[in-house]
Amino acid sequence: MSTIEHQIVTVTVNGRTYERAVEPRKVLSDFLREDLELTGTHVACEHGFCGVCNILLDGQTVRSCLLFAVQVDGASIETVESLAAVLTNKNQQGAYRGFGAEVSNWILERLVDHAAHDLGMDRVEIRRKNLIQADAFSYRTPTGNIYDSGNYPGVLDKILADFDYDYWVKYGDDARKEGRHVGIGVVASQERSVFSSTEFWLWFDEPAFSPTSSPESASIQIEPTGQIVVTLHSHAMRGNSPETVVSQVIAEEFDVDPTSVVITYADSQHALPGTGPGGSRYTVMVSGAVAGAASQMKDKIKRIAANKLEAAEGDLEFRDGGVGVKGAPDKQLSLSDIAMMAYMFKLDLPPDMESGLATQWTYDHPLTTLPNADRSDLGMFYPFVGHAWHMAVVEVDPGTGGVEFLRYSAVHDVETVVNPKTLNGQIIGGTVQGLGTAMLEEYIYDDQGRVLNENFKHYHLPSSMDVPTMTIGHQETPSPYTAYGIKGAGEGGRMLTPAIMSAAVEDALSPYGVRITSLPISAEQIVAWAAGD
Amino acid sequence: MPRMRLRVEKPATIIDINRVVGLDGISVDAGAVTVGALVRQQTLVTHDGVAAVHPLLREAGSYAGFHTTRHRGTVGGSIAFAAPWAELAATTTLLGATITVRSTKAQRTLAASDFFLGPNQTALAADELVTEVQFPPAPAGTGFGFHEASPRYRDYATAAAAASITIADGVCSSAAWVLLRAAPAPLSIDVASTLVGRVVDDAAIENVVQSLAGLDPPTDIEASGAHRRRLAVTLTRRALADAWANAQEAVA
Repeated sequence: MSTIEHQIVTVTVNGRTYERAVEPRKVLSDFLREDLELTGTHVACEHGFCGVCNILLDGQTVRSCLLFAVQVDGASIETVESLAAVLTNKNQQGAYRGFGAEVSNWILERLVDHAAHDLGMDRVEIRRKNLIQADAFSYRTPTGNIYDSGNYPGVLDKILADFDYDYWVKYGDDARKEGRHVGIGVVASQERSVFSSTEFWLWFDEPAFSPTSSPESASIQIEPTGQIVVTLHSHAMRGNSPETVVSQVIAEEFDVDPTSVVITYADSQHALPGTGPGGSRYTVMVSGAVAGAASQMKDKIKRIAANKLEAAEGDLEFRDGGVGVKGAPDKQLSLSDIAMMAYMFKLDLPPDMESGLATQWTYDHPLTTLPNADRSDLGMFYPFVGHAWHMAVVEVDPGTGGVEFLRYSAVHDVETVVNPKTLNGQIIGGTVQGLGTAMLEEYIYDDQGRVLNENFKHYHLPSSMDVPTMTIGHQETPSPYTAYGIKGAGEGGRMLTPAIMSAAVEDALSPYGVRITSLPISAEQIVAWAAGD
Repeated sequence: MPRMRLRVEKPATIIDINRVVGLDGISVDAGAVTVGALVRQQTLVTHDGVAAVHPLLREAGSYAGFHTTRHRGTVGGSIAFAAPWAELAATTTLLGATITVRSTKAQRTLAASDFFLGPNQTALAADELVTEVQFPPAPAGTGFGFHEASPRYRDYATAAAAASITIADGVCSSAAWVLLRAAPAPLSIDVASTLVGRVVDDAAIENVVQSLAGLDPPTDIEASGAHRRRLAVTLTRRALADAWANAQEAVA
C-alpha cells in the first residue's frame, strides 16, 4: 500500500495566512475544522445539499465539503468566524402567520381610510372603486406574481349584507350624539397562499442556493381488508388539520366514510419529497398529492373490477365503499374484494398487472415561474390568492380604555371550502391572534434590556372572554390551477385584525382627533388620548 | 400557595388548615355577616343571605380570581395574602369589617383598615392565623357601587373603586370610599365630610374626585401611576353614582 504524498497548501483564511502539509484527498471542510481548528464551518449532509459548510472562496459562496483542500492553494477564504455577531438578551422573535401581510395591510388600510376621510368618501365605497374586477383574472401584479382568480365585489356584497353596514353606520352616528364612543372598522385583504420555494430567493440579494421545487407527496395503500391507509410525508406542525382534509378527499374520491380512513406519517428514511406546512400551502398541496395517488389507485381498481365484472372501465363508478357498474346495483365489488384479488389472487387480475394495491404521488407546485435576473420581475411564487373582508363595531370606554365588540363579521373567499369547521377555526384563531397583536401583546423591557413581562400573567394574550363573537361567511371562487380549486386559508385572520382594530378604535375616538400610529393600542393610551394627552 | 408556586417562598413548615373544624361557617344575623376563614370565595359570592344584606360582597367578590380559583381560594386566604389587587381587601375595608386573628396564646380583632399595610403586608404576626371576618350590618337606605378596570376580562385589577352611601331624609347620611391600587394598601378616603347632608349629584361627585389631584398611585409594568390616577377618578365617579342610585332604590 502506497501512501499518497502530502502537499503544501498556502491559504489565507479570514485575513490570516496558513501553510500546511495536507493529504491530497482531504476535503476542504475537514481541513478547515481539523488542520486549522476553525470549527465554525460545520458539516452535515456532506453531499453539497445542506449548506452548513458554506464558505466564501475568493468572494464566491461555495460548499467546502465539495472541494479538496489542495484545490484552494493560494486562495483567500472567509469562514463564519470572520463574521461579527451582535448578542442581545432581548427576546427572539419569529415570523409567523401571515407575517409581513399584517404589517403591510395595516399601512395600506390606514392609508385608504385616511384617503377616504380626506376625500369625504365612504370607507367602503373607496375600496369598492379600487377592487380588481372579476373579469380581470388571472391578474398579474406589477412585480410579477399573479392573483389566480377571484370575485372581490362578490365578497364585499356578501359582507355588506351579513354585517348590515348601513345599520351600523347609523347606529354609530346616533351613539355619538349620545356621547358614546362607537367606531366601525372596515378592512379588505388579499390572502396569498401556497408559496413556491422561489419565495426564499427574495430574502437574499444573492441566494446561495436557488431551489425551484416545493412538492408535497402522498402514498395510498389499500390493505386486503379494504382498509385505506394514507401515508403523508410532511408532518403536521402548524395547527392545520391534514388528517381531516385527507380523509375528506379520500372519502370524496372513493365514496367511503371519512372516519374509516387511516392516516399515517412516513419516517425520515421512507419519506417522499415534501416541503411541509407553511405559507398556507399544506391543504392545497396535500390535496393535490392525494388526488394524484387516488387517481392512480382508482385506475388500477377499475381495471381489476372491469376484468372481474366483465364490464367496461368507463361504466364503473365508486359507490358505497366499493366499485360497481353504473345502473346495475347488484354488480359491485367491495374494496376488500378488490384488495384480496390484488394481494392473493394473481390469476384473477388482468394478465399484465402486478400484485399489490399501493400508489404514490408527488405533486409539484402547480404554478410557479422564475424571477428574472435583475429581480424587476419576481415571477410567480404565491399565486393562489384568496380575498377577505372584515367589518367590526366597537364601543370604547374612554374612562377605562376598555374596548367592547358590538359586532364582528368576516367573509373570506378561499375558494373550495374543504371543511367548514376547520376553516372557521383557522379564521377565528387568526383573528384572535391578530387581536392580541393589535390590543395587548408586547414585550416590556427595562433599561438594561431585561424583559419584565416574561410570563402570561403580564404578557397578555386575549382570553376567550376578550374576543368577539364572529359571524363568518364564505364565497367560493375555485382556483383554476389547484386540485379541487382549493386555496390556502390559515393566515387570513391575523392579516386583518391589527388594521381593523386600529380603524375601529380610531373611529370611536374621532371626537379626540386620534390617529393610531403604533400597536398595541393599550387601555392606558386610550385613556390618555381621551384626557387630551 | 401563589408565592410557593412562583418559588419566591419555601417555608419549612406548612400547616394544612382545611380540616380544622369551625373555620368554614357563614352566618347572617340581624344584618351582620360572619365569614369563617376557610369559606371558599365562591361560597361567599353565591350566598344569597350574604348578598341580601351586603350585595357588594357578591358584586366585588365575583371579581376575585376566576370561577375555578374561587372554588379553591378562601376568604381568609385572600385577606391574609393581601394581594394589591385583592377585591376582598377593598370590600372589608369599605364595609368596616373586623378581622379576628389568633395564635396559640391569644386572640385579637382588628379593623380591616388597620389590617392591610401594603402589598402582601398585613398586621398579622408570624404565629397568627386569620380565623374570621365580621361585617357589621349596613344601615337601612344604604347602596353600594363597585367598578374595576383590568387589561383583560376579569384580569388582575389595574385599579378599582368601591363606595357606599346611606340616604336618610333624601340626603346622604353616611358614606365610605375605598380605592384599590391607588396606594400600597386599600386606600380609605374620608368622603363623609364632603357628602353628608347633600344630594349626591354630579356636582357633588366632581367635588369628591377633585380630591384625587394629589393622588400618587404606584407605577408598575401594568400601568403608570398617572393612568391609575385617571382610572381612580373615572371609577370613583361610577362607583359613587351607582351607590347613590342603589341607595335611592333602597329607600324607595
